[in-house]
Amino acid sequence: MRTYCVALLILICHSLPVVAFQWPSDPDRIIKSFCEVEDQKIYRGLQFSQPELIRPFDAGDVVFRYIQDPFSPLPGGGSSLLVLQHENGFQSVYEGLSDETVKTVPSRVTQDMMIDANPDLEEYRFCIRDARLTRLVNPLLILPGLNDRIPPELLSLHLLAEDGTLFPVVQRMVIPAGGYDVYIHVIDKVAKKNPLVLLPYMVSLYNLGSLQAERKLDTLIQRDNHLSLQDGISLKNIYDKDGNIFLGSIILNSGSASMEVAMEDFYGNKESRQFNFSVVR
Amino acid sequence: MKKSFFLFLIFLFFVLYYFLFPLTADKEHIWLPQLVLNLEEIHDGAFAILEDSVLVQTAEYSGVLSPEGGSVISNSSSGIKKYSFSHSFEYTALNKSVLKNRINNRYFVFEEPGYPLILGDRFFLADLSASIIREVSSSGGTLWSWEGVSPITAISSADMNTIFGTLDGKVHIFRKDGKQEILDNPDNSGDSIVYGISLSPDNNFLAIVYGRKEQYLLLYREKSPMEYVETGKFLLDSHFTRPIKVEVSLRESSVWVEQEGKIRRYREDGEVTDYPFEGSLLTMIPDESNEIVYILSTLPSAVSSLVTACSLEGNLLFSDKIKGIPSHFKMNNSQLTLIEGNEIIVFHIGEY
Repeated sequence: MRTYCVALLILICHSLPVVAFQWPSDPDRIIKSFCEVEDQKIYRGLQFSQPELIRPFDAGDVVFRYIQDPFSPLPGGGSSLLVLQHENGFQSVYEGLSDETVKTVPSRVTQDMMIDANPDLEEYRFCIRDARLTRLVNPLLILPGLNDRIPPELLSLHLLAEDGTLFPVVQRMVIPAGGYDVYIHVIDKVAKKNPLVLLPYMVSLYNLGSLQAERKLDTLIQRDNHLSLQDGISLKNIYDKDGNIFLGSIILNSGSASMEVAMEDFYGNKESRQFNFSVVR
Repeated sequence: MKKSFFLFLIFLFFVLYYFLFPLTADKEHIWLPQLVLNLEEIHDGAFAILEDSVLVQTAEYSGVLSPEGGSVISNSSSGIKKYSFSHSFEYTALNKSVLKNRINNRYFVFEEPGYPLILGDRFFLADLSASIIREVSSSGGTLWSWEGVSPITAISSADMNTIFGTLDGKVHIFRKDGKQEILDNPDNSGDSIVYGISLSPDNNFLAIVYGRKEQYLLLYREKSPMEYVETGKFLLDSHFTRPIKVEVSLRESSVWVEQEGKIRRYREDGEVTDYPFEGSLLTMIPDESNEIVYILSTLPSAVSSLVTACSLEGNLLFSDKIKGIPSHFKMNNSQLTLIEGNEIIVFHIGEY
C-alpha cells in the first residue's frame, strides 16, 4: 500500500509542471507541426497563425532578444527572436513577434502575462528547447493535451524499389521480390470537423509480425551538423520530394507478405493497417 | 638692486615657462558636408568627391557609391537584399536566393533554406533563428554548412575563418575549406549564451562576450590555424539579453565592448578605458588612424540621435545632435557617410 502511495505521489509531482504549461496560442491556430516539411524547410516546433496576443508557455526569464536592425551586432535575415528560460530547464523560443514586443517584454515573464503579437506578419513560430540536453522537443509532448479521440490515419504506403520504381501498396497486389524503401503519408486529425491536422507521435512498420522500423517524432538533436531524430537518422534523409516519411528499408522474399503499419498519436489513440500481398520472383 | 635686473628676471621666467609649458591651442575637429544627395534621385554615375567606394545598406536602400562610376543605388524594400562591393545577394519571392556578380552579371540561384548574408567578401545563406548557416562561394558552390538545434546568437567572419556562437554557449569555427572546430567551451555549465563575437581581419585576435547572470569578455589569440588560446578574461558590468557590440582593434591588442552608457576598451594587458555617451547605443566607429572613436546613440526621446566623438584616451572631443535616427553611419578614410531619411550626407572630418 505504502509503495503505491509513494508511486502515486511521484506521479503527481512529475505531472504538476506539465499541467502548469500553457499553449502560447489557441491550438486551432496551428498551421504546421513539429517535423513537418515544406519547401525543404523542416519545422522545429509549431507554427501558428498570428493572434493578437500570445501567452508565454511558462513563467521565465528573457535570456535572448533579437530584432532586425541596420546597426545590430548580429547581422542576417530572418525574423525577430525572443527566448525565455524556464526553471525546469526548458527554453521557449518565439520567432516572428513585433520588434516593439521583443524590445519591451520585461526581463521576467509571468504565466498570466500576455505578449503582443505582430499584426504585420501572418504567422509566428514557437519551439521548445531542452537546454540541458541541447535538443528540440515536440511541444505536443509537454503542452496540455488536446481533446483528441481520433487515431492517426494512413493516407498512403509506397514501396520504392532499388531501380526507382514506385509501388503503391494495396491489398492482394503482386510485387517482385527484392529490397524496398518504405514511405508513408500519415496524418493525425484532432477532431472530425476541426481542420487541425498534425503528424502522429510514432509510426511502426511490421512485416510478417516482426518489427522492421519505427519513427518517433518526439525530439530533434544535432548530429554531424545536421538535424536528426533521436534514433540518429538525419531529417534530410527522412522525407521524399513529396513530403512522405521514409520509414525504413525492407527485403521482400517470394511468397506471401503481410505488412502492417501501426500509428499512435500523442494522446494514446492508436490505429494500424495491414496489407496482405504476394511477392514473386 | 637695479630695476632693469628685475625686468630681466621676469623676462627670463616667462621664456623658461614657455619652453617648459608651451602654449598649444586645442585642436578642433570639424565636420564639413561634402555631398548631400537624395537617394530617390540617384542614378548611375561617378561620385568623384568620394575618397573610396561607399557601401550603402539600409532597410530601404542598398548599393555602392563609387568614385570610379557605374555606381548603383537600388530600392530593396521588396525583399532581403544584401550588397558587397562586387556582388548582390537577393532573397526572391520563390524562396530562392540569387547571388549576382554586378561586374560581369553572372548569377547563381540557391534553393537551400536561409536568407542571404554577406560578411566582408564572404557569402552565406543563414536563418540564424532556425540554426541554419551555409557558406557559398561566388561560383555557386557550397563551402560548408551547419544545421543545429541552438539559434545563432553572434557571428564574425574574417579572411579565412567564420566564427559563430549559439544559444547553448558553444562557439563554432569554420574555415573556408570546411574544416570545423569547436572552441574550448569557456563555460561548461551549459548555462551561458554567446552574446557577441569579433574576429580580427587576419583571424589572429578573437573576442567573445558570453555568460548569462554574469557576463564575461574573453580574448583569444590564434596559436596555430583554428587553434585559439585564451589571453584575457574580464567580468563585464552590464547584463544584456541581446546581441552586444564587440569590435577588436585593428592596431592595438584591445577590444571595444558596449556597456551600459559607455563603450569600454579592454586591452590584453588589463588596462581599460571608458568612452561615455548619452542614450542607447546604435553603433560605434573606432577611427584609429585619426585616434577618434565615434559613437552614434539614440536619445531617450527616440526622435533624435547623438554623435559623440572621443579621443582614444577617452576624452570627449565633441557631440552633435542629429534630427532623426540615421540608418547608416560608416567611416571611409576621412569621410563619414550618414543616411537619414532619404538623404545621404558625406562629411569630411578635418582638424582645425
